Amino acid sequence: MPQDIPALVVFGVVDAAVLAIAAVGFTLQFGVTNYFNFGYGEWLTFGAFIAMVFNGEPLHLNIWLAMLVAGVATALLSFAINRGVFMPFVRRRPEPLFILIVTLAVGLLLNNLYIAIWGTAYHEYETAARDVHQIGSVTLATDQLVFLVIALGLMLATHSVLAYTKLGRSMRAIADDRTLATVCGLDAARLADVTWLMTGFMAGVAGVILAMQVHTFGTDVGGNFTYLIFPAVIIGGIGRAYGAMVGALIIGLVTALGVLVIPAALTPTLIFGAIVAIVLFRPQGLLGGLGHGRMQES
Amino acid sequence: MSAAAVPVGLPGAPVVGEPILRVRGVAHSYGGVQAVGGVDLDVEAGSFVGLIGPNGAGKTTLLDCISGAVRPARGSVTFRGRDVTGRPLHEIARLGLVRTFQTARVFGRMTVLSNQMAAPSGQLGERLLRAVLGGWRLQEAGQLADALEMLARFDIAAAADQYGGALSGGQRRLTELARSLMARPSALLLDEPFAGVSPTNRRRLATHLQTLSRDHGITVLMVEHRLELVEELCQRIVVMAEGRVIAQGSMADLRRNATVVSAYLGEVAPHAT
Amino acid sequence: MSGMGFYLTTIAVYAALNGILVLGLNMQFGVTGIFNFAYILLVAVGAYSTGIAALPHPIPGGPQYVGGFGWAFPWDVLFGVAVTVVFALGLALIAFRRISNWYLALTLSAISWALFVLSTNDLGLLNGEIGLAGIPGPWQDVLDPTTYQFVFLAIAVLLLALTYTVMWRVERSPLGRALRATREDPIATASLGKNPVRLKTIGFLLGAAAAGLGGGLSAVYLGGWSPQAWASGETFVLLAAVIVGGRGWANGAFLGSLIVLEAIIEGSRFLPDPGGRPDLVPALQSVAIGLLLLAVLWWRPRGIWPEPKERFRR
Repeated sequence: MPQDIPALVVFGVVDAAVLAIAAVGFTLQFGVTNYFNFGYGEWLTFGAFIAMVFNGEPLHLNIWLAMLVAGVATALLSFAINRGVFMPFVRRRPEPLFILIVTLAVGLLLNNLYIAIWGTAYHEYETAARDVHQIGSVTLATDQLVFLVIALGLMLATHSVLAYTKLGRSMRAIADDRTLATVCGLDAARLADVTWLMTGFMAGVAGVILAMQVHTFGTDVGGNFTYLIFPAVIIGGIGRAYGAMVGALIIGLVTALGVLVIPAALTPTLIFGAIVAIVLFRPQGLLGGLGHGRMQES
Repeated sequence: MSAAAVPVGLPGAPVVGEPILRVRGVAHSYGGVQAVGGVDLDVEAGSFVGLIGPNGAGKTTLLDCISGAVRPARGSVTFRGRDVTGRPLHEIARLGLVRTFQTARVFGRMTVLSNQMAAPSGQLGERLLRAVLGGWRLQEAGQLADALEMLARFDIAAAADQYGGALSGGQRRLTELARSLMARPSALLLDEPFAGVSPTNRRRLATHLQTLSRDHGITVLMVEHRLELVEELCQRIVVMAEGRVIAQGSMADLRRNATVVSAYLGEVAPHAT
Repeated sequence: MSGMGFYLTTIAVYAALNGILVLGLNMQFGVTGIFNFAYILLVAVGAYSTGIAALPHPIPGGPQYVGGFGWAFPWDVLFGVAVTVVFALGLALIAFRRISNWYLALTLSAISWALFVLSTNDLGLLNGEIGLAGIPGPWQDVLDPTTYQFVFLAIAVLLLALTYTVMWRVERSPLGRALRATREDPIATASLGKNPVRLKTIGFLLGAAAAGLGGGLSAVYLGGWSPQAWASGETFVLLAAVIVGGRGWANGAFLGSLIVLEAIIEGSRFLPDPGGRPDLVPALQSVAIGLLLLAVLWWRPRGIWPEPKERFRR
């Protein structure tokens, strides 16, 4: 167990990288559509397996290109599911209860579809031999450096979209005050389309990075990761993209540095503790705005 | 048993002469925008007070602060001599101050009669042990008689077995109001009770409200836009604009007040005196 | 007892235990309106605590777990129920006051996941991945297998009847009405002087008691409990049962539990041979349940046997 702090911090940041991509996708989609996608993990799994399809026999595509393909494929899947399942359901049964269960059901169905296609065995990507770099006392694989670059790139892209584009302004507007935004003429359906595409892409990429990090992965890879995505989003503040980034960083660092004080097997208690602390002391999340008083809908 | 305004909570009637509701310096903001900025308001027991003002004047926010839906940033609210500032909605309602909402909040997947029966406090059957072991049926039978009488009084007895969600706008309002009365309030905060109500039901509702105030002595503070109704029902009217009280008095007084006319009454076609 | 006999009585036991679990979730979700997508966590708490109460003290070199009191039935199960209710109270105190309904769904899921991962990590808490095994059943050491089977069935059915009766009576009472009011509109409920957080907590704890009971009995019947028994997909099956049957009342929920259980059993019998892919069978069952749920949500959202209107004698 590495005891030096810089190394742990770096590992924590790398872990946080993929978590950030996934968490930002999750929370952005919630901000725009106003419901959680409880099947989100299966978006990541889809990405991971699409990359595997292209990376393995017979195409042998370079893993980074495969990642790109996976991102696009997941974006399309995301768009299709929203148009094909979520939107019709929301229109037919607008009660929030229903759509949450539908997302659960869709996640379940997707997962079983993956099992049907790819079975329950574990898989691995074909990547070139991993070379490592020494930065001070820290040993990092090239792959991990690339993950960081990709994550930073996507975070910057997200920030740029949110801060400087009309799309981003619309996303922020609808996340802040849905009624007001639609009254002001915002086309919620088209915005949702674009959001599902965007966040689907991010989820797909995150899924591939995740699969690369765990090396051997099965159809449960994405579903298991929700164990970290949900807390990251809760800590940062639901619906807040920057919050998700902060939350991911915190989770990554806490799980990495946590081994200094407690046995590795006990790190879930740190996560549990973080969730409880946020709910008790700052339920709107670290970056969440102050609530509008006591009355809350749904 | 009639649905008389038997005060709940504190024993005895409020001291004559002291306002049943006293609001002092209440202020509240929503994310940097000040919705209410220092309001003082007294409401005498048994009176019918109207609260009017242009949109965005902070009327609903004031109701929220008084009723406990929101904790005011500053100021105090005293009800029946008790400081209730910042107390939660259900505690203040328990003391006898019941409010209705801009969009009538009926229980959609429950029948109108169930809506009524859900309202009274002190139901024995609401305690877990009693619910399982029994012993609440007698009390409920009495309550049922009250509820049916209340529905009859509001002329919605025919809808007793309809789902709350299936009612028309006017019926919802009446259901919500009838339900509020089942909770035996000593004071009512009404938020635009006439909005979305058909002309016939408006008459009905106005008569009911008048009876509540005159015959049963229930204090009413009503936010409303329809000035002819405000004039008809309210003895005193408070005008708010931009989060503050700008004038109080009878409708005649207010029509003579230049500030009020320009801020609000000027927007609305003046009612023939 | 013949093989068929064992099979049928086992199905009956599962039906009873499943029924208890579904009734509990219905009370939380159907009646009170709490989106507890992590209900299985409460079941697991009941199962694990019953297990550690029933098992003997852990010996060095053997499976490691906390507790190990060696209590016999019914004390082990009662302990399980009590621990589950206390645990649920903790959750309620932390989360109910401050956050809205679907934020609660996310938070409960997150908490459930964290504790699930914790339970799989080998720590000597609950024997990690392998879980607890060898949990003794009621008088199992003195009864022959056939008699034991019938005895357990009788116990399960009795406790199912008890659970059903309690849930039914609560639903039909003013408390049930207040819980439904909280489900429909917590703010309006508060405006009538009733504390929605308190009401939600009551509904939650009642459901948690059933979860603990069902979990404890399951642990005893199966003789063990491991993380596999409460993977996150399990809540979905129970949720599907509540919704498909008719959420909001005991009859609908119980019907749902029978339908879903039936779907699982018949599914594994009559499904086309997956062609040498045995891992596909549970997957196909899940697909069947998922599709059934979506179909019901689309065409019959109140469930196959919807919650009836409250009628009064007048």
